[in-house]
Amino acid sequence: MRLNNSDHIPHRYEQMKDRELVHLFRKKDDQLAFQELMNRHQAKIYSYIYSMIQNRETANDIFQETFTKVITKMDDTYNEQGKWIAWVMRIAHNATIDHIRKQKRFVDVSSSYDEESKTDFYERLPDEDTPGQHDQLELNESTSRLLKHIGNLPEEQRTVVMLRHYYEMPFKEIAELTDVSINTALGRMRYALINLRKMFDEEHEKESSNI
Amino acid sequence: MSIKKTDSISYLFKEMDPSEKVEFERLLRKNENLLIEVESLRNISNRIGHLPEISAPDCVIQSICEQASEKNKSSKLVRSKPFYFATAALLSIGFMAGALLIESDESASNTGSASVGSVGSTQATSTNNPAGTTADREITPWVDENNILHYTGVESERSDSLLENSYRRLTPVTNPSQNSSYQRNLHFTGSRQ
Repeated sequence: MRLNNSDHIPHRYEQMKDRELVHLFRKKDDQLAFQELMNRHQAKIYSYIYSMIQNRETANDIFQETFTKVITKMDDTYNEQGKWIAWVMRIAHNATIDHIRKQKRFVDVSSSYDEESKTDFYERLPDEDTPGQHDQLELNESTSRLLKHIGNLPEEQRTVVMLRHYYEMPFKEIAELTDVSINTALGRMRYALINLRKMFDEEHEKESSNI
Repeated sequence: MSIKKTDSISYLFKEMDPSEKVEFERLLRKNENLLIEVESLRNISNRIGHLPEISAPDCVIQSICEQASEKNKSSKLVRSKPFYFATAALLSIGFMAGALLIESDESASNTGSASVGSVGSTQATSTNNPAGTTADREITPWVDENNILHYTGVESERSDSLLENSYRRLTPVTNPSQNSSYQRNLHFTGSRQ
């Protein structure tokens, strides 16, 4: 998905490989090269972050944080032999997971079960800034539902689903990125799909009972 | 072939070797439950496949691009820093050398001190007078680090007369071979009291 205001980028940049664009940006300070890289990959990276967080403001912050790291660390950390997008994605993934874990740590202080209401702490929490709340984005109903269900998946299953969907990452790379074996990554995907199927079935049942 | 739970995922996401794929498809034809599971997983997977890409807000992208251009400006500065350091070093060396030259010129033209003779040297050298030159001051002899004898507080005329008096009191060496071992070290040491 290209940016709306990308018309000023010459056509030749579109034909260049990521590696060439990165080289132009690093060695010749070519801003157009950087803008072309953004054009190519911003939507995938943003979608991944958003689908994991499901809050527009937080997704914006994490996206910005990701690219701040990309810009500042490109000279030191990035090795031009590797894929640039894989490197950026790793940064985006780490920033996203950091945020999710910080949020978890924040609420984990009291995950007590309430006997009266038969709910635990998480269920009693307001929905603000938690997965499942996709604010300020106009999406069609089926997409919203799907995003909501994906938001309800355990973090590790959600990660595998989104990494595969948005980055078309092989399971071997997903396993490396998430620090598990390939079988675990495959297993997480399987459970994610099974859980999603259950959620859709339950939703379908509810809808049928309402009718 | 035994079926692993993850085989259906490997098959769906095309992560099987061709031989494994053939074998798995053979099993699918035989095992109806496996086929049902694979198809239901495929159904959900296809739904996920319809998730749209969401573009980041323009303002965020613009601010990132600005950040990138600012970073390049600052990195240019960093890259040209060695040049700045070299220029600064060169300038400071120049200033220091200039200052030293001016100082030495001033000291050369300074007539307030006189130096004569030496212990260990036959040459009389004029150097700085650290104590200044005031006519009223008492005459104070002092020896610098090169063992050169100086008189402080002497005006040039007085110092000339003092020098002459001093020379008159010196005894020339008449037989140099007699004290050859001291020849290099002692000059102008004898005097008539």
